[in-house]
Amino acid sequence: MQITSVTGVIKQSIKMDSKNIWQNVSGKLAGENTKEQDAALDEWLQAEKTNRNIFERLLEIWNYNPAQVQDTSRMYQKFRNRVGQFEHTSRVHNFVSYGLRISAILLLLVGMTILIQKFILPGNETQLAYNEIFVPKGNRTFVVLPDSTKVWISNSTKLKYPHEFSGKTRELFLTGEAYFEVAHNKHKPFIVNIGANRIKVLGTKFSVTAYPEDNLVRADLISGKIQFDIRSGESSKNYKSFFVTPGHSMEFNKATNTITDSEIPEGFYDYWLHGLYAFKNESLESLARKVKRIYNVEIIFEDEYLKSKRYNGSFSVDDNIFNFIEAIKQTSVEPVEYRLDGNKLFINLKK
Amino acid sequence: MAYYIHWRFQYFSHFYGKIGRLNQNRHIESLLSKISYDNDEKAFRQLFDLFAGRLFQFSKSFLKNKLLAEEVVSDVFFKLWLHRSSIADHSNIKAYLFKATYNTTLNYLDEVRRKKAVSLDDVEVDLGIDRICPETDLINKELKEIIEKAIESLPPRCKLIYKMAKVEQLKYKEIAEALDISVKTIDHQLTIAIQKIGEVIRQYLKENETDGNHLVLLQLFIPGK
Repeated sequence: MQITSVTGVIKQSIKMDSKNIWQNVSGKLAGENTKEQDAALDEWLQAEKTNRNIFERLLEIWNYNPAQVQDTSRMYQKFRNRVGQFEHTSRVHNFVSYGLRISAILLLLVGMTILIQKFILPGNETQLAYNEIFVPKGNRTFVVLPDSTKVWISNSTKLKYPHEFSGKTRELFLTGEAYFEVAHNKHKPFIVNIGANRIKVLGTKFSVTAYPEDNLVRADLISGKIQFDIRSGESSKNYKSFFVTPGHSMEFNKATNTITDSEIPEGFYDYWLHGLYAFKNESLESLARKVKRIYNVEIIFEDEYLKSKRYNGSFSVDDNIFNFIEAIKQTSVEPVEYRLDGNKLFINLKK
Repeated sequence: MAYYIHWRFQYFSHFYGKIGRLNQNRHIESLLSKISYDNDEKAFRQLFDLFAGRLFQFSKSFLKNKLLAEEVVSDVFFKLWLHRSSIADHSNIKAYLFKATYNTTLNYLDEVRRKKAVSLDDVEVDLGIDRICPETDLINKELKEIIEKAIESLPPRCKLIYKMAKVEQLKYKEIAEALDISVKTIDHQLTIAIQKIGEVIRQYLKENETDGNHLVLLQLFIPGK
């Protein structure tokens, strides 16, 4: 008799110490325990001082939840942009459906008397409604197009795309810089118009850089196939087509009318997906142009010599101008000084 | 006796925690009715500030990309704003927001990564490790580091569920609904987390206790004068 009861006790304590008890402990912390579980937990706590010591500490950790402060203003701005965009497009929508209703009434009236007008009026309705996104300096955004193509849009960039890709092609208009992951559809070529030139795609990942103020227009192709169409002349309707090889960048210089082909720079993905811009042997003048778009601060050179200085390194789009200029200052051999005045940053050699 | 005092302290802190939560719930309810009936944008901004940062962290665990996570959060609130007239009907806005964020997050992932995320084995959870708890009488620097390491080494799915239950104070049922898994899994995963932390605490207490015993033993062997 005695032996059996002893083994019973041993069995019970083993059971209590394993999984079950931790389930009761975590249930207690999370406030999910049943009465039975609470009772079992109490028994465990009473059984040994160590158990109580452990539980006290777990409770202290569990109950420590400081308010997590986070700057939400940028996200709120994104939300506001989206609401603004929506209200804009729904206005276009309303206008279209309003137009539809009027033309339907007109059709009824006119159609009864003059048959020919019936064929003329519907022509008005087929106009495409466009969405237009403008990303200001010092900002970035991401959109999914109606055909589920993903677009990452860089700073000071404008993208215009139809509310619906209803025609034979998917056509959009870009000034600035964007990275595309095009949803595959071989029946509807994807065309990005960049000023006079354009890029034709079937389904692929690529980026386009085409700022009107820069002489260079660039396309970087990650995978798939794209066709870079360059207009033969100012007023010509013909294009000269070039194919870009995957993993390569093609650059067209508007001033010299030349094309160069090179491998995609290192850190390409970092730039688009993490906002990290890496540069190698780049002049401060060229960096200044990028900084202006990214941080919305214009760098003014008070000494022309500084423009030609070259740097290697990287900076993050989510960072700020001070970190950038401090890094420049610290890596310069000749001492440099700067001052910020509104949106302008003056830099000069230290006298 | 000391044990008794601690118990009272615990009930106290629990009590305060509940009062805080009740007040917050009431605050959220009033915000929702302002948004729903008066189209109050300021109230919406307050609701946004209450949850946006946490939802951002949550979404980032899956996307591992700040920019995309920001898009997800603004998307979730955009949809909430569109349906603001029925917002007061949500009996539990927090659970709704987490669920909506999870679904939107999946939409932003490509097919391969979506499969991984659904199995929850590939998430990257940021717990704000340095703020697990301050150093106290009960938890000194050494123990704090041990616990932090233990939590850090939890499997991703386990860590995520631990965070949702502890930091976000979501009920098992709410977590299960948000992540589309069973309540049993939540219970199981949280048990694993608490067991792991509990065991390292036990180990630490045991080691330090035996150290003390060694000292006593040593003293016994030191020949007296």
